[in-house]
Amino acid sequence: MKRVLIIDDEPWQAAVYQRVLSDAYQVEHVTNGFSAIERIDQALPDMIILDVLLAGSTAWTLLNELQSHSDLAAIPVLLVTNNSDMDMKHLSVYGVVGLLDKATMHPNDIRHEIEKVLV
Amino acid sequence: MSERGNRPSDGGQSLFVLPELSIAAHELKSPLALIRQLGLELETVEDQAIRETLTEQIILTAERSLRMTTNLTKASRKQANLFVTEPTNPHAVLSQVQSELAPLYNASSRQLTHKKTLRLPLVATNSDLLRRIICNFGDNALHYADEAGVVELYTQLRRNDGTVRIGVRDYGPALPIKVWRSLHDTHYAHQSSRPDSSGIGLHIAHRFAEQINATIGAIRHRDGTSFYVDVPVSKQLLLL
Repeated sequence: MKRVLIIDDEPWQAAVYQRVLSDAYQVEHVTNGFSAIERIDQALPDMIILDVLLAGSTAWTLLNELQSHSDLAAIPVLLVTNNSDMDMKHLSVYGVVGLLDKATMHPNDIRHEIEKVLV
Repeated sequence: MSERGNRPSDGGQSLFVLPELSIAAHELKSPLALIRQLGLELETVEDQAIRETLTEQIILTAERSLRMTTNLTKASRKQANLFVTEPTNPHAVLSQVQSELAPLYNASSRQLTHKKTLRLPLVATNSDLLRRIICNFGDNALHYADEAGVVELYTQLRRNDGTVRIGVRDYGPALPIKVWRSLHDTHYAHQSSRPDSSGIGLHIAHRFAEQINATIGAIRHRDGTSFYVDVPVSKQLLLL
């Protein structure tokens, strides 16, 4: 089973994603960037779902950190955000393969986006 | 942005200037988006236990948003005489905060404890505003609390400056330096165009603190953060 790591400081939101994914993927959840780095090092997920505004650090800090390690830079990242103004062109250099707006997405969209990447 | 957008619109009781509106809108968008996501899942899920959990989470998230909107309304009032101060027992306020936030903390598997200090003097404050400041800190701490999940409400008599420190201590990741800096620069929140998680809550707390001659601040710990408000001791009862 492929491993998906959810990094979101809103546990109820993460639980929604977990319920949508748990029958097909091994899903884990952490709430902040520091725990995320630790967990990524230990478990090397196949894909990361990342909330943009994290407590204690932002997603950008984490994305930069991932890009600075050759073994982690290739992990595809799906960004979920409340800020719909972001531009995918600028994000792809950070390993971001998709962008979902929390205000318009359906929880099942998470699964569709992951399936596009983890075939 | 037009100049009109930055001006008080009603002779002194100014509405928020546009950057603040933008931050407030962003801050409200987050719980609204969550309510929508929970509602969408509720529509499809059949398991009764999950349905009950989702319903409770929707209600609690809506209540959190309503607290925020009420605070925004109150924070936009600038006339000090709207908020009467009176001798207040800090522990009574903390007990109210604990009761108000208990359902939210329980549903998030977190615990809000109240550490009582003996022989604490009364403080001169508006108990409603003080409660809202501490509720703001409590809401914020829930967001930052780690999975062990304990957040403490505490008090401390500060004899040197005649205040009582009333605070909320969490054990999550350290406070981001720019949020910490904002506590020491009351203009920072006005200047920052980037919406930050917890930014508007702190800005509201600043506004409320100004109304009751109190000061808010934060202490960065190695394993978390304390947000506090220093409130003047009530002189009325000291004279008795």
